[in-house]
Amino acid sequence: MLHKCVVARSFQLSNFCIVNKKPGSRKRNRVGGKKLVMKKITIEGKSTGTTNNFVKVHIYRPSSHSNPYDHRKSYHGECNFKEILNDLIPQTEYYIFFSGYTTGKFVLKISGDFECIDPMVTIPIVRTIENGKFSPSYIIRTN
Amino acid sequence: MKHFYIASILLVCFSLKGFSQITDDDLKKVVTEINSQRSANSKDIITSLFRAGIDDLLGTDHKFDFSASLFGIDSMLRGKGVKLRNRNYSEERQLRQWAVTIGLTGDIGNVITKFSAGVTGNILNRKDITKKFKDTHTKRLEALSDIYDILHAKIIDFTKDSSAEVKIAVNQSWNAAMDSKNFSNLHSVLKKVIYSSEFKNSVLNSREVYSVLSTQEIEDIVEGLGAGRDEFELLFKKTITQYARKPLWTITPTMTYDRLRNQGAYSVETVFTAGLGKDITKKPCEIEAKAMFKLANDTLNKESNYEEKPFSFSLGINKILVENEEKESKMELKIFTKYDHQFGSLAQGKQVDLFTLNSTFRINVYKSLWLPITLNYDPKNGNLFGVFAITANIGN
Repeated sequence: MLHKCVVARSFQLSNFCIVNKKPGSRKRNRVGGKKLVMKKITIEGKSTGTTNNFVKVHIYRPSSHSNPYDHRKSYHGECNFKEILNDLIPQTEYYIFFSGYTTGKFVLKISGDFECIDPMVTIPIVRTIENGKFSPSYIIRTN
Repeated sequence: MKHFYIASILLVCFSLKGFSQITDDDLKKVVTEINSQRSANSKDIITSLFRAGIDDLLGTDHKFDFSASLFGIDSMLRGKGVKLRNRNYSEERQLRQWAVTIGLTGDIGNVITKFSAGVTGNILNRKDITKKFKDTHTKRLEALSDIYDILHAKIIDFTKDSSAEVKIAVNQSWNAAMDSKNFSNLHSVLKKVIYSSEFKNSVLNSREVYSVLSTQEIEDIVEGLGAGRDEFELLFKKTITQYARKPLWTITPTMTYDRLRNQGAYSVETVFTAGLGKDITKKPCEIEAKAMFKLANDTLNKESNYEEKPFSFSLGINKILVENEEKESKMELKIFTKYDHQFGSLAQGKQVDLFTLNSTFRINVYKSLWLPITLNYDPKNGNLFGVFAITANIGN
């Protein structure tokens, strides 16, 4: 759990990191005694032309499901970041959503070992926001 | 005369074309968005990219001037492949705070009589939204962001056992509502979640939210979401509008060379403008104060001198009359009083002090092309003057 905050601190800005994993998650990487190959996703954000940005990144799997997941991170300022999550269970559904604003241009990119359950969304997921608020949401399934 | 008009209009058109030579689309869009809600009057004070103008179209002296911010010049050089070191935000912002202006004045016989060059710098620019908002504004926007995050999580909890088709439809409905900034056509599941007591209680119990917003404000926001309003978008637009009405104060020293008399003239001008009124639902109205002092030659004296020392001060109000759907100004009217005082030698027939009532009517005729028409009325002598001009705020 702590390693994620360490990774977060290597980035430029003051952020807070909430990593709240449910009990039992330590044994998530084993099924039937066999070790799972965990899947990785990378979430990148890049801002242009302003330091007036805010984005909250949230990767979520409800607590009522097996292998719940709840990772939240906020960024302020120039908002150039790269978040790598490499502890996702294979063949599992996760929700990725963002909320924030920018007074310049902000580009979000999600790539990694997953497909989007909405066939209209292409991988990698790239979203550009210009001078506005944003709150996009994606449902993914790891490979 | 005719050739001067055609050449000047062509120069304005080429200036418009010049904007397209900036190949960095990111920079163009950012600056365009930054300036979208400023009045044309404030854009004339200092430009963020380029501005071209022809003044006194019907007078005996015609003046063409071209202003470029250091940011605009730097962006054009980048577009031409000139390698400059990478800019960071602070450098970009510093470049936008300064602009250079060059001008040509011609007489009725198409003879270029004067060259001028000036620099405009911001003393105070509270309109700049690329700087971090004040803490009060930032915290409220972040609270709305948290509310939307809570709503996301509740939607997921509500649909966790639904089929893939339902989940996709709900997610698509949410993203479409975000893109259109309209919550009135939400999927029925989304509406149920917004109206649910679980969502409302989660928001009321969220520390990040209740530490910033009052209970009544939270309830109003939840009710607004239920009524189909994108409350986060409304708050963001309101904040941007508030900043567009904040003060701007500039100073412009200018040097002019009169080639016929072989002498220079020097002037310094300062302009202050700020929005009036707190009701952002009304079209913007701003106050403008301008002062200018000049050292120039007295033309009656054939020898080189600086005996002409006019000072002018004007105070007025500029009102946006017509806006488009994006809240960009399309028509403005400025009414101002002006006081002129001559500290130096006085030409025959001229007055030491002159007080005039003036108005400038601006109309946006095409994209960034504006036609400002200024009327000056001298109540003491009953004189009425008109000054016609054409300006292009390129990329603004």
